[in-house]
Amino acid sequence: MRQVHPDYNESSGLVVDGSIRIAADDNPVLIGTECSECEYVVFPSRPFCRNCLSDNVSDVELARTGHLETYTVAHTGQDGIEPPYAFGFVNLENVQVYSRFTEWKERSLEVGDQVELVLEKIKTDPETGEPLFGHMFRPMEEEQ
Amino acid sequence: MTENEVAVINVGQSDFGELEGQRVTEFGSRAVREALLSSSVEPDDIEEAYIGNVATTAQDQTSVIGQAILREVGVTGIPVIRVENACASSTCAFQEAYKRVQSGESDIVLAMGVEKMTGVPTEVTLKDMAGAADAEVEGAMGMTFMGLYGMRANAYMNQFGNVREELADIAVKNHDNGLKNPRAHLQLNVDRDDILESRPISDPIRLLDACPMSDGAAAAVIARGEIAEELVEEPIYVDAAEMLSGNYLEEVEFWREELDERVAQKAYSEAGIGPDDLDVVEVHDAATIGELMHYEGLGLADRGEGASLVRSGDVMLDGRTPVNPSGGLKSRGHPVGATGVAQICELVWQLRGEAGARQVENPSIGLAQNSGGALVGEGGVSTVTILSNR
Repeated sequence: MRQVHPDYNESSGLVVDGSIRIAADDNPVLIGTECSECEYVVFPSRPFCRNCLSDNVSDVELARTGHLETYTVAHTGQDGIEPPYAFGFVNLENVQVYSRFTEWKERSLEVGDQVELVLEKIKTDPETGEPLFGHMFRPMEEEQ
Repeated sequence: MTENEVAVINVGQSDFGELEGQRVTEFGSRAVREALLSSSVEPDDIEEAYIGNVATTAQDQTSVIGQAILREVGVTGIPVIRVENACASSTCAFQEAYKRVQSGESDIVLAMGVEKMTGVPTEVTLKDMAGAADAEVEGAMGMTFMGLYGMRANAYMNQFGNVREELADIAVKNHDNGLKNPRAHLQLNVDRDDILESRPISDPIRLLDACPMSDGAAAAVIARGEIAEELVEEPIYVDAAEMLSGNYLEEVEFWREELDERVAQKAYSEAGIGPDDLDVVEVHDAATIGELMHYEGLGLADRGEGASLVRSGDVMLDGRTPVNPSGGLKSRGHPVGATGVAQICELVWQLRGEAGARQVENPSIGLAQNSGGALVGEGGVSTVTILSNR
C-alpha cells in the first residue's frame, strides 16, 4: 500500500519544516537529530543536543515502524481538522513521537499496536487554503 | 516548623461561572475586596502583589491586568507582577508571594488569580488553551487538552484495567460537592449514567468528565506568621509550597503521574508530613482521569489503586480523605488563571470550619495540587501547597 499521499510533491507545504522526506526507496521517513557525543535522539531536528549541549549533531532517519504508546479519538478539535480524528504517541526505538493516525476506523487502535509511517495531508492552511502535509502512522496488517 | 513562618490572613473569591456583563476588572476586584474586608488589612498594608492570569493580553484586553484590578480596590504604588504558567498560574503567583514573605523581603503580600473565558469567541479561548502545549508539533497537528487526558486514560486502563465507572463516580462526587458550594459554576444533579451517556469528547473522556470554561477570580492575603497572629484570630499556616517542571528528556509513562510524585515528595518533606496526615485535599480535576491519577501521584493510593479510593468512599465528603469538597474544577469551574488560588481559598475555609454545607469534619491539614500545560505529553508544571491550622 502506498505510503505517500498522491497530492504530495516537492513544493507541498509541511506542518513542521524539515521533519519528513522521501527516502531513496520512495517511502517517507522522519528526520530527527542525533548527537555524536551522547547519542541522544530528538524529533523534530535541533541545532544542538538538549541532553549534553554539544553542537556535534547530525540528521538521523528515524525508524519507520514502532508501537503505539497511547492514543485517543477526538470528537471535537481544531480549525482545519475534521473530527473525529485520532492522535497519540508512537515509540520508535529511541524516541517518542506525537502523531495523528490514519486508517484507525478500519482497524481499531489498541495500546501496543505495531504502526507504520505514512506521509499524509494533515490539515488545510487557514491562510492559503492549501493542504499542509506531515507524518501520520497507521496500524499495520497483522502478520499471517 | 520553619523559622520564617508564613500564614494566610484571609481569602476572597468571586462567583465562578459565566459572569455575563461583568468586566474582568469587576469580578477580579470583588475577590480582592472580600479578602481585604474580611480581615483588618488595609489596602495600604499590601506591600507587593502577584497575579496569575493566562489570557487577557491575547484577548486584546490589558497586559497590566493586576494593576487594573488593584486600582479598583485602592491597592496602588507597589510592585505588581503578573505570573503566567498555564492552568497553574495563580498557584505559582501564590508561591512567589510566599517566597517573598518567607525571605523577609515583605511582611504582607497579595496573591491572586483571574480569568475571563466566556463571552470571548470560542476559537480565541481554545487557542489560549492550545498555547499550553508544544506548538511546534503537537498543537500544530491537532492535539487538544482533553485529548491529552484521553491519551492518559487509555494508557492507564491498558496498564491497570477498566476504571470507566469509577471515573464517572468522581464526576458525580464533585458535582454533589459543588451543589453545596454556592460559588460553583456547574450546579448539576447527575448520576453515573448521565456521565457515561454524555457525548464523547476525546475517547474515553466524555463531556461530563471534563471541566467547564469559566470566568472567575480568587485572592489570598499572606503575611509573616507573627503579623498574621495579630491581624486574625485563626491564621492558616503555609507548611509547604513547591512546584516543578517535567523532565522531557525521557520517554513518558502516560499511566503514571511522575511529575506529581516528585513535587509531592518535596512538599511532604518540607512540611514534615505524609499523605496519611491529610484531612482535606483539592486536586486538578480538569478531567476525571486527572483526579484519579493525582490520587496516585500524591501517594493517597498506590499506582494502579486510585479507583479503590472511589469504591471505598475514602475521597467522599464524609470519607477518610475528602478530595475536592469545593466541587473541584469539574463543578466549581476552571477559570484557568484563577483555579490555583481558588483551591487555596477552599482549604482556608475548610481549615477554619467556614465551608458551610460542604464542611469536612474538623480538618487540620490540607493539600492543594494544581497542574499546568504539557510538553510531549508530560506536565508543564505541577504544584503542591500544604496548609494547616496548627
